[in-house]
Amino acid sequence: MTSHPRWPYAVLDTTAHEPVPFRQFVLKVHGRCNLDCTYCYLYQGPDHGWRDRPARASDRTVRRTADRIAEHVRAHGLDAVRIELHGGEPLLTGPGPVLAYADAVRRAVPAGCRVTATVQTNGTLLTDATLDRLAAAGLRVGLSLDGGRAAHNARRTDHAGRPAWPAAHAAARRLAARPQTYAGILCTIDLAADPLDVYRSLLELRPPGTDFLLPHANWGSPPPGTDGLPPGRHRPRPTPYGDWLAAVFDAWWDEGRLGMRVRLFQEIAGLLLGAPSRAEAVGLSPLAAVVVETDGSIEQVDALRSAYPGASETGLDVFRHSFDEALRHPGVAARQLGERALAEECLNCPVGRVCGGGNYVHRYAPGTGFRHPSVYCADLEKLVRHIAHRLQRTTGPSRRPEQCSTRCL
Amino acid sequence: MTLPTDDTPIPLPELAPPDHTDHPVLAAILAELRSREGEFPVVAHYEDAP
Ligand code: SF4
Repeated sequence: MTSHPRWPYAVLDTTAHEPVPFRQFVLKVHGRCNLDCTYCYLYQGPDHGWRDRPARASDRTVRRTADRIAEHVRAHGLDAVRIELHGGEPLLTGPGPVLAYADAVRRAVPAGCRVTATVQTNGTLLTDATLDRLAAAGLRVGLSLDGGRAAHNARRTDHAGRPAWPAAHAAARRLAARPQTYAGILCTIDLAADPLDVYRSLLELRPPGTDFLLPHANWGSPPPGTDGLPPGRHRPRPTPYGDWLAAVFDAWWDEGRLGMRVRLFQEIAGLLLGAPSRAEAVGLSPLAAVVVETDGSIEQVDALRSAYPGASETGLDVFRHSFDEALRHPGVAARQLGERALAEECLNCPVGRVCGGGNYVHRYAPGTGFRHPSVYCADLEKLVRHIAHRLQRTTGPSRRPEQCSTRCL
Repeated sequence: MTLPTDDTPIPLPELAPPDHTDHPVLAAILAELRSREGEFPVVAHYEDAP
């Protein structure tokens, strides 16, 4: 039996807010992976729940999930949803299960609801034939890489210790030739890698966009290369991740053209210009994503598994529960509260309206839960201030306070 | 220049989207923000999807 922390589980009144319908469904096609990356939060983290779940989503689970998504779409009159076909490695047994899942959802939802389907893969099984079939079905493909060279991907190996890079690199080349199908690259930051080398090497792979992900960490399990501290807004602090990202930002900003979109940077710039964020990493927008595991369990985002065993569980499943019931789960509701979910330090923080406390997963502290600043607090402030400074110099003088139309914390 | 994080009480500048810019990256950001106008509510997406 999972023991959840006090906040939000013991104290949040989930009936006191208006839930935002889910618009993104993360569908676990396979519960296993052909790789064994050293930093993987799913298979190397504290939660070993994957061992008890089926290796693959059954036809019954797929049909039931598709029906539940359709029910949610009808109930809320949604005109578009996204499905993310995920794993483990979703292409573990070829494209068939992924195509069948996408097809089931597309058939189930009412006419008029657009379904954008994306496969997120490590790329090692993305052959020409597989890519042809995914592209023909209108699926987009995203790659997980740690950079654009073999050395950047040294932590990505198979279970026999063989590097994933040669096959992943071939996949990146194939995708670069199919811009309509290429969704982008997700890159987890490794401080040991030179930020500019990582950035330039990714650019050479010609993705339409990328995102730089902070390694999952929390106050009980601090980020690689940093010291442990009790939760709080500690200053001064070293900011190795903020510095790494700021170096990449400068290269991206000064490129003279938009070589590729970078989600984190664009969202921070958008927030600084008064727009709400579309990202989990920054800002205060409600998270509208939910996960369905291979056994039909409805779960919160699986990155929570990096916090403690069972952290992503809701106790709900697609066979007995609707997605509307999941919206009333404290863990799900907490992700839709905006500033009401923030710690005191974040509410009083001068960069709070942009940072938004960072990724919820990174706020966790054992015992007390998720109402803390991010364990990347100082790094986030460094990056936000850096981008603000560069943006200010580009856009010209600041506007006067009476012209401010955004809510400032 | 990377700014220090010790200047904690200093508020962020209030920036307005410019009507026009010659900066190519900023122009792309502004175009994307314009494409989101009318979207309500703007929701956050799952980080492990591009
Ligand atoms: S809003 Fe961000 S920078 Fe400010 S205290 Fe919270 S986590 Fe730290």
